[in-house]
Amino acid sequence: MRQLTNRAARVVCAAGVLLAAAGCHDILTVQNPQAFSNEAANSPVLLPAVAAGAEGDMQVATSTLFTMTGMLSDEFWHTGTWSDWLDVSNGLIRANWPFNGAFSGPEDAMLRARGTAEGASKRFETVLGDSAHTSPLFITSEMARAWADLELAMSVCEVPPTGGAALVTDAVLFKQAADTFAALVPLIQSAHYTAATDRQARANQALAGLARANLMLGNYASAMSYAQQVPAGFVYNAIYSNNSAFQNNQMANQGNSNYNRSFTIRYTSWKTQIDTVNFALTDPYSGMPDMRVQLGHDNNNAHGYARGSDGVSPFFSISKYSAYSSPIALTKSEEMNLIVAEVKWRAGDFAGAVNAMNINRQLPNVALPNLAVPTTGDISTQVRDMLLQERFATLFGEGARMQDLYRFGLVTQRLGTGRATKLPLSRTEQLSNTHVGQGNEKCPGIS
Amino acid sequence: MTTGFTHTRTPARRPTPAGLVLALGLLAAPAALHAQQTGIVVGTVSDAASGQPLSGTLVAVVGAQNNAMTDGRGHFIIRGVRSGAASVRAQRLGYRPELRPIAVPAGDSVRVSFSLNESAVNLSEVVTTGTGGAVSKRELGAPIGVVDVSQLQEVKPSTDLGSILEGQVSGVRSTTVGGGVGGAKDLRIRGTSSFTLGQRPVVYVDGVRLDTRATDWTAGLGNQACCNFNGGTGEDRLSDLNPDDIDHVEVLKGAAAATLYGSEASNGVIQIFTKRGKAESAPQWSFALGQGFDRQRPNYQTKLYPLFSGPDGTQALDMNKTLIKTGPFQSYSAEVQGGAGRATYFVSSDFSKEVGSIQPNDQTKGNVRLNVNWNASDKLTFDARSQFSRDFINSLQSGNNWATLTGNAENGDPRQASKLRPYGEAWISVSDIQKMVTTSDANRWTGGVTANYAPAPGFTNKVTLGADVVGEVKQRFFPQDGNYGSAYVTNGEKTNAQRNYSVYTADYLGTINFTLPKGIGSTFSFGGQGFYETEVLTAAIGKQFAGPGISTVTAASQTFGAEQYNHAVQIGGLAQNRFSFGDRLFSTVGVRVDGNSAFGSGFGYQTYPKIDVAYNLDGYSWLPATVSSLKLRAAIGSAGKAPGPFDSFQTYQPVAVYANTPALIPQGPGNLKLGPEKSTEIDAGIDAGFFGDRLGLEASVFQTKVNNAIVPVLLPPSLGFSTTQAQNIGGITNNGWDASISLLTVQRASFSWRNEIRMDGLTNKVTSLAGHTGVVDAGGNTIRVGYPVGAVFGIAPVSYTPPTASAKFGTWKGTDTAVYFGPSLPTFNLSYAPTLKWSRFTLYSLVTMSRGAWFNNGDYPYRFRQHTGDDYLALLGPGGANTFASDSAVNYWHTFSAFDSRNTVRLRTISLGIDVPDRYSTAVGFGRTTMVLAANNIMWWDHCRCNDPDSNWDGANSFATNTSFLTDPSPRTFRMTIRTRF
Repeated sequence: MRQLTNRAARVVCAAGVLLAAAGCHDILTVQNPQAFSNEAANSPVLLPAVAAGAEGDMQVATSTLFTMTGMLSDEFWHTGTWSDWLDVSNGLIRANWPFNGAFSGPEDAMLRARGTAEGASKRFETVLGDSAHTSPLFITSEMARAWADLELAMSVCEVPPTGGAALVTDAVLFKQAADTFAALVPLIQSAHYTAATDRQARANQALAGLARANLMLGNYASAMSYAQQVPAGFVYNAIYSNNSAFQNNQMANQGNSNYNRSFTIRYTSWKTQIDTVNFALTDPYSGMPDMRVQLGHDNNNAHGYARGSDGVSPFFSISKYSAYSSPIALTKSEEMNLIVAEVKWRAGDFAGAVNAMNINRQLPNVALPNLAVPTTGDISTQVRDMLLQERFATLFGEGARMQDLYRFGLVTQRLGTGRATKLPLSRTEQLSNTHVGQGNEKCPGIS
Repeated sequence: MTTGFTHTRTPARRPTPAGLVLALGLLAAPAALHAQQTGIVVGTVSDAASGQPLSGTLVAVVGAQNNAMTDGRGHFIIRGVRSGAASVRAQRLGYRPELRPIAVPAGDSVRVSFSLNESAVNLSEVVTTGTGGAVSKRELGAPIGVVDVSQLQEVKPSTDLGSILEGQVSGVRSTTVGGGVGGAKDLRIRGTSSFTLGQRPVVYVDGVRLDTRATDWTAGLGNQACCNFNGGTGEDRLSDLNPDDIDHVEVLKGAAAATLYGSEASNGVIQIFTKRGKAESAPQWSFALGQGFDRQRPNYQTKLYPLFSGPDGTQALDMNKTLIKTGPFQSYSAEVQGGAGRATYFVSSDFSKEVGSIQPNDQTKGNVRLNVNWNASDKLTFDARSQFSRDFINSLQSGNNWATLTGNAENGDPRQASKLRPYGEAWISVSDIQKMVTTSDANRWTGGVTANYAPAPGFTNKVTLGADVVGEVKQRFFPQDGNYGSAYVTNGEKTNAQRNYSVYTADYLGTINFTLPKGIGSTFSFGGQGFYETEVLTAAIGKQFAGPGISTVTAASQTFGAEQYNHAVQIGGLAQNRFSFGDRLFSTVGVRVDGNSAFGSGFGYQTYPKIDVAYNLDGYSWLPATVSSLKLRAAIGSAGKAPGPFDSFQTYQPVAVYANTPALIPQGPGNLKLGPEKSTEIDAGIDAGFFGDRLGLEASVFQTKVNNAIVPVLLPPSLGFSTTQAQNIGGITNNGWDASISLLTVQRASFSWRNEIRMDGLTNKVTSLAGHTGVVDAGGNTIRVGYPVGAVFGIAPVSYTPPTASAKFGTWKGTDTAVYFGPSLPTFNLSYAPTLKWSRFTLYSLVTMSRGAWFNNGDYPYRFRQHTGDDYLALLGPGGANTFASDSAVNYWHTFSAFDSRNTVRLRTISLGIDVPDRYSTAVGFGRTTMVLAANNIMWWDHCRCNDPDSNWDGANSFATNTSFLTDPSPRTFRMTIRTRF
């Protein structure tokens, strides 16, 4: 009997071992509860999040990219401790830059954001089929893709037009952005928006994008036409939040004395105009503080905030971005007024140009005296300088200045020789994109 | 895998194949039990040279489960020994074992005494880690290092495992890399065999897998102030262990030795064996008291600071004189051990508190351990072990960190000194940093049960079940009234983070001894091993306090949360057979097969084979008389390293965008075919003894090849994915050698002089990247074919054009591309440890040297960019005025980084041990009492422009971060330890 009992026990044990072995396969299956799979992202429940990711990723990428283009221009300079930021600030970066450099990360972020949007659009087309192009979700991802193209073209001299493709020039990318915006205009009208305001907002974003892209392409009449269709008071913000580090406005993080102090307004270029009493840049035409360029400064040096993190450079907080949640305007009606002004200036309509600029100066939050049309000297150059000053003040910290210096050919005049005129392609994309490869970059040009 | 010294195999007791069949019949038929009469073996063990009793010596009946450890008087008792003829073996690390034949009388006792000779050769040592059962080193073809921790503690008292391993095993690197008291150590074996995965060996304690995390885990939790918790260096979970609990440590150096550990062992395996109670002995008490202090070496670059004053007239301070303090150290430990009948016990507890030299920084830890052994019968034994530890660290703000304490002082501009910022701190004032509170509080339980069952002679079964459970809380508090803007903190911040980690280990090993035809001995081992590991990281963060005086997360005006989860499961099976051809030639053939949850779903299982050969030539007449023992060995084997838990998954990351709208963005591209990295190591060596085993040599040459190393292939950012794709496409080769020399120069009753020399050399090279000539990993580090992993690349100066009207400082031109400076790890290491014993005095020292490594010395140019540091200040003119030289230097160091050699010679330890005469110790009621005075890390010599060439801001386990930055040198420690026994 005992033998039988023991034998039974052993049989049970052996069976247990076999069952355990058979169950090993399931034991080796683990779940990742912190991310979705590609298949899961096709769920109708998640598609709105996919669309939000496309646009949000583009917006989030903006703040760091604008920091870099700002430092490459006469808008900002580096007051921190990072030598790779200093390389950007000094304009030393070149094509085929031998290491990542400070500009690579922000540029990669925008390239990724465009890839996110590209992937989202394809997903909508796959999942939604014929109804994709009338879906607001598709409009959202395509809008994000177009704006990412536009910001990349404003910042980088050559980039792949789609994920992993061969390089094209910034001009080709401006064209691609314009084409996408143009394609969106009719789609927006036929899309199934539940609120008219949503449709109008998207329409305005597309028109503003068309205006800027055409301006950069030299299609001035088209640019003005689109700009004039954008209503006053329109603004398309990149939205940030305190909610997570992912959503933080990094310009606030690095350009404000509440946080780090790694860049500020380029002191050497603007020191004569910095008003440390009213904490703003002085408007050169009225002598009044221009509150579009508010600056913070600790005169008493009580906290050492009068200097950047390098301990040496004078530091002025970029007050426009005082918090992680401070929005950055991707475009706004004031920019449209300046596009109109520029087109008129280029057409020799100096009075019209000045009038267009004065629309902005009369806004309540600006309240600066009107500019007067010059009557003596080189009027065209004077109006151009007014335009550039207005663009600087109006679009301060909004990613436009470097492209302005570049396209007006003013890099040498404002910053000297030997400087990169635009950002080169990131080393990461260069090395990982089989259509590019090491040593194959052709730009940027050097002043 | 297996634990403890158990028994050695005796050919005479090997079963025949018929016996094997009988043994296997355990699962099908009851084993016949025969009642036998038994007797008792008693005796003593002493040192042959000094005559002193030897405690902790294992005395075992050969071929049976009966064994015992000697007590403090060298006594042992073994009960329940089968009557009749038997052999008893006494063995102790560092001594030549002795075997004595005895006749055990039924119902009576027999006395046997051993007098062991110290030996520089360890071929008779029995090891168990990765060998498929207990085996003498003479039968092994693969290298295993052994550290006698209990002996080492007598001359080099340490409070953490990493310090113990410093310079003790050739090929093992254990080095403090900064981070103050409680900072992690860089622990690795035989270099680097992975691009991305952890470099630490897997560590077991008594067969139970341990948490070895030594890196900061808060960085990925987001929403916090800048720069990790305290600059990059994490707390070292290996330092939770109480070194006084450890008997010895076995080290498997590479894949050839560690094959049976499968997909976690390519970095080697360290197995810790804790102490056991002595059988048949009254309670033996041991108490230890440690006192001492830490004192940093005053080599910070602020010696010229007092020559300068700030705008308000404040004279700048030299931090060497103001921030370096004497940090007190105290430790207390008590242990009791003994046994009665068939059971033994070992109970210990300890408490220590170490205050760092740069404050605030301290570590307080305590341990309680209970080890119980029960010999249920001569066939069945149980070992149960349980340890609870608490490790509280008040972390130093150091490393790559805006809030680094000494970094702020050392990078301050003394010409900007003020009352609030007496070092001219540019980022955060030292006084504000000192108001911060950064702590780690870990509670940990580690335990397990091992059952040994020998149903028949030559057939053993061992089952180990265990767990290591860690709960760690980290807190960081920026007070509201401090100015922490540089660290991205306004109006204060509090982080409360928690890590819950657990790993469960299950291990079965069966061993069958039998004899094959033609007298070939055979030991067949088979079994399985698995672990189940989970890690949950959470954080609660509060930002912006309304005012000073509050410090909870919920008291902040903005609150955030974060969570991360990791989960890995592994199951493996193993089988091996060791063949013995006579008493000279041994060979082992084995295989391990693993499945792991981290493998891609399309990968399947991984197989790791091994084979080794050992040939003992001692005793041959043709050998010179000077050669007392000689073993030639060779081994080839594979082991692996599993990928990260979710690296094979393609993932889309949920994030929030706009004003907190849920969103989804591409994250990881995943790889369904992702498998483990598989290292194949060829190792050949010689173990030899000369002059009667007074001179011992163990030397190996090895080559490790990894043909499927995981490369973090960075996909074009334009594709949208934010992380790299792990691909098994990399090739890495390590060619190296290591050698240990032990020399008993003098061995007299009253005087002995023993020398230990350990050396190793290593060349590491990336051999392939699947067609890529170079890639950039996620950290921005360059991996290039033909260069070492973690190679140091940078722009080097090429030419200088003198100043012109437009170029005030002249123009430096650098190389067009990054050039190679050298590897990030040493290519040659040497340690020398002489021990002199004279009468009651023992003098011990440990000196190490390393050569060949380079690093990006981030501190040096940084100080110039900050217009500070003694080297810059020395260039200034009268009144601190800038000069052409100072401005040129700043200009130069704005252009270039500094790349320096890590070559260094370090006096790690010098200690004096004193055996207190009995007349004094007994006069105050003590038993045998020893006192050790030790000084550690007293001095180092180097060529770098740095505080400490071993420092690394990313702490332990960071092979790719080859920069020293704002870290603090490891402290000099001075200790007095008094230990007494009853």
